[in-house]
Order: sequence, then C-alpha cells, then structure tokens
Amino acid sequence: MKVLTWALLLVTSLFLVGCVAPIQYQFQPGAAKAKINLQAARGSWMCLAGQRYNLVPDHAGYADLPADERIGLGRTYYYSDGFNTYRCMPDPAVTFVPKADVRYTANFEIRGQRCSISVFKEDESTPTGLDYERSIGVAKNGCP
Amino acid sequence: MIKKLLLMGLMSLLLAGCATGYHSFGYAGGYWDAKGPGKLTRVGFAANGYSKTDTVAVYLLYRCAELAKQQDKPYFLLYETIGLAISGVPTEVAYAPTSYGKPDGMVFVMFTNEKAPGALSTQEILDKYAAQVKGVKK
Repeated sequence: MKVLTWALLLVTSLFLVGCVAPIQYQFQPGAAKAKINLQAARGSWMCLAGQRYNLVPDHAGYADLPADERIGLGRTYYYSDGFNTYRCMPDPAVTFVPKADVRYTANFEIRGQRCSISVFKEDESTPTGLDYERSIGVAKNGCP
Repeated sequence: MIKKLLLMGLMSLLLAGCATGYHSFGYAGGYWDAKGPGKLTRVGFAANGYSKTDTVAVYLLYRCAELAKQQDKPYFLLYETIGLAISGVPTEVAYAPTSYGKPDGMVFVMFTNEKAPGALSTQEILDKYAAQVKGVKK
C-alpha cells in the first residue's frame, strides 16, 4: 500500500511538472532561425501568436528564435528585500521580426523601479558592435 | 555565552546601519561588471538604503576608471543607455537612481586608447576621486 501511495505521488508530481513547466518552442525541421544573446536578459521569454515560450540559451548565452515572425520578448522580475516582494514586468514589452541568421542581443534593465527590455542587432562593423533593430514594435504583456 | 550572543547581535545591528562601502558585489551590495552587449561593458554599483545616491554615482564612475586602468586604456566612454552608445552620445557623469529604496546605478562603458569627444581620462578620474572612494591621500 505504501509503495502504491508513493508511486501515485510520483506520477502526480510528474504530471504536475508537465503542466506547469514552461513550454519550449518547437522548430520545424529546416526552419529559418535567428539568435538572441540573453546574457543581459536572463530568464526572458518569447511570445508568438499569443503563446508564451521559454527561451533556453546555449553555453554562449544565445537562444534560437523563429525568423520572419513578429515575436514579443518579455521577462518577469521578482525582488524581495525580506519584507516585501516586488514584481516588475516590462510594459510595454518589445516586439520585433528576427531575420534568419542574424544575431540580436536583449537587454533587461531596472531604473528607478521601472523595468524595461530592449533588443538590438549585433553588428561588428559599428564601434559598439551593435545597431538599432528597425523592426521594433511594442505590445502589452509582451505578446503581439 | 548569552553576553557574547547579545554583543554579536548588537554589533550586527550597528554594522547594518552603515552605508555600502567601495567593494565588489556581495551581501551588502558593491560594484560589478559584465562584458557585453557587443563591445560595451556593463558596470554597476548597488548600495543599501543608507547610501547616498551621489556617493554611489562617484563609486560607479571610479569603478569604470579602475577597469579602464586594468585594461591599460587611458580613456573610456560612458553611456547611460545602449541607444546612446549606438548613437555615440557619451556622458561625463554617472547616475545612481533609487530602486526599491536603494541607490542602484549602471552604465555602459567603452574602453579606448583614443581621446574621442566626450571620453574621460582614466587617470584623471582615479586621481580626482581616490580620496573620496578609498580615503587615499594624494
């Protein structure tokens, strides 16, 4: 009976993990991709067609993005000072249309308790190695 | 034993009332830096609620100069935002606005060998603020 109880608890836990775990975007074979550097925006998520997806960076800090689709980028930030817990979500969040084989970089900042997220295109030809991304748009809650 | 515990508790309370000093990031705050994005370097200073924003701003500027010195760069360009960095609009002053009741500043820095318009001199900044930051006599 004990074994059965534990087995049931394990199965339930596994089921619940599957329910609450962030969804990862599944690319079609051969699909065009862009890359985004998340080292300055860890924990960011992507929104595409109203669905939020977890972004998983590789060892270099880059995550894959579907190309030629308007996607939203967002992040939920929590901070606790031991007395209160604060939550900050960039609003408006940023959207853009990544181009295939192009690298982007995301930047999440908190200034004066307002948080923001921005996206720039990586461009080695410029003094900063960055350039403005021309397809930038805004959206409520990060979902276009 | 109880006396020792009480003394430790009192010392902890006294220490908690101190502003964040100039040191690397830890439990009580401090400076931090990270390479990127692009060719920029992010440099920040987070302080506790007892710290003054203008003091933290000086700490932040001084830390940028220290990093420039470590890399043997005689000048550095300071940018408030990535957009201003891309547009080539540097600032000569660092800011540390209050965030959740505590001064917290961050800048984007480009270290350079050239005295570009708006570039700050590494050694001048170190000399100017050493006394305030580290209590070092000139």
